[in-house]
Amino acid sequence: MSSSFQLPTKYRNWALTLVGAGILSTVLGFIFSPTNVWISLHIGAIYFLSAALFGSFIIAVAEVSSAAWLAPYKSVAECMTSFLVPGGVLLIVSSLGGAHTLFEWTHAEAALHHPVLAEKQAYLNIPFFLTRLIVFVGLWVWLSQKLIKASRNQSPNRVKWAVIFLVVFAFTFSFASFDWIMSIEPHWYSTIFALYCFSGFFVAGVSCLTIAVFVLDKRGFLSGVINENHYHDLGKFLFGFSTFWAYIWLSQYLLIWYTNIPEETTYYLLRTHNDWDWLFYFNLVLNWIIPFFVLMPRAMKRNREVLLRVGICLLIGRWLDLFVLIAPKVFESSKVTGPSIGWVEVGIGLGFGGFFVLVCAAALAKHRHIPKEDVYFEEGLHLTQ
Amino acid sequence: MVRAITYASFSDDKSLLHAAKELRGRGISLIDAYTPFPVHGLDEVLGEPRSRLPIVCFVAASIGCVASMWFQIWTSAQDWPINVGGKPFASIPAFIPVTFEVTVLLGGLVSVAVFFFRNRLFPGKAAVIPDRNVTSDGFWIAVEHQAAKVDSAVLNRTLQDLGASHIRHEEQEI
Repeated sequence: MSSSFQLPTKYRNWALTLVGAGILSTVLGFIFSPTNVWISLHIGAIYFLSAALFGSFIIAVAEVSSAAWLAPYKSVAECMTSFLVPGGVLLIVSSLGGAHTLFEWTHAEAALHHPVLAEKQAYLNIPFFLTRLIVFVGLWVWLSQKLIKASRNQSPNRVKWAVIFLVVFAFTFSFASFDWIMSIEPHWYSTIFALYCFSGFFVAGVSCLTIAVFVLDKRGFLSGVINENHYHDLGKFLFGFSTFWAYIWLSQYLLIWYTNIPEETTYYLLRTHNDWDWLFYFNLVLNWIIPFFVLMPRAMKRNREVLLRVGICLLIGRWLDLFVLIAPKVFESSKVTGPSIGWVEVGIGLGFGGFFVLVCAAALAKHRHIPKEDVYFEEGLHLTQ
Repeated sequence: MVRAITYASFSDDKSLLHAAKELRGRGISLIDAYTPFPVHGLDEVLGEPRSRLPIVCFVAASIGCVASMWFQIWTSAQDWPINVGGKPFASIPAFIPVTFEVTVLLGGLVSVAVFFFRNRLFPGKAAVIPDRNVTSDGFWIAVEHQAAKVDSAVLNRTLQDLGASHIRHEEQEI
């Protein structure tokens, strides 16, 4: 087994450079195109807050199902959750600072004069929105801490905390997806929306976990712990849940396409016109078609180099998915036709990535990175498929 | 021709797996193992080549996918075009659920059929098992004497050392 974890200086410098690039893009972006900055900040905050939340989610799932497959690299999921607090703060910044750019319902005259928005004022107003945001993120932070502490100490309460987390997660995640993403188009609604967000959340979380395990394994921090059977598990998750995402994607599209009701189709009209269409379909290629055909053979799921590339493809796909969810309406409100992706998006996205890596690596260095205390650790080492 | 087979039973999956590994390490290959539930890692120890069933499944599923899509387009756009809600005759989104279902159905059914055919299995076939308890709590392995290349007394002792509780010799006509 290997020595304690320390982020290699080379990686640390890269991450710091990315954070610098992100801050620079934000500052310059505010001068040239503030709309793009608010969109990117909002996407970045949701993206990495979700990745952090996935860490606790997968630990809770493993605890509830008495699973051994996660035990050897449980610490990687644990360290991901350390971004919950920074992610929550950044989300408050993006959704409050960018409230007028992002959310149509914050415009007083629009809200009062439109009957639908006037009715929704009771739910969609800034104080209540902020309260919900703080309550959701606060619950996630508190329950994650309880769960991870119980899991580290192998306390008999760990299944109880895992169950509480999962139940709370189901409700808070659904409402969070309504608040932070769906309310950008307050006239439109979809009853499968929370599930759609959850499927993307799962795929991106597994991709993040896979890439982190790959990097740690490659640098020798998980040698003797991880072998191709563990990668096979992660590969199956990527394969299965990318297909699940496509299934939900189609389910939402199909019903709206079939019934063809004007108030529902606006969502897809916006995304299939004015050059948004190629991004809209490219989203399906990145998130499903490529992973599905690449990961279909067994040998591919067991090859960590392939998993790294598919993971990166899916992470870019998840960003594009959020961009297609969030940006079209915001650009339309700001009288920008068509998609606009440039250095602001790339810079801020990478900046968030660098910050995420720094926070998680610091958390991983603070605790043991090989969870030998876990009762399932030994069983998890000897996984076979 | 007659072949001599030694059957040995073990108390649980771990000791079975251990014994199988030990025997292979000594150059004695097993011809089969019988367990009440799938034991992870047993395929590798038995030295079985990987199943080619996934290829059958892939081909059948691909045929199901293409054929069902073609059939729907042919029926609703070519042979008897019907206007449904003003949508195009060949409305791909509407065909995807059926295409998906037929893909899965054909992939599944053909895999099962080919599996049965290849293993010469059919409902009601008499089970070829060393003991009835392999369906509840028995873990058996089968070693062929010719493959073992050891004297049966030596083989017996080796199996006993590895924790075998019952050992039985059998001669089968092949």
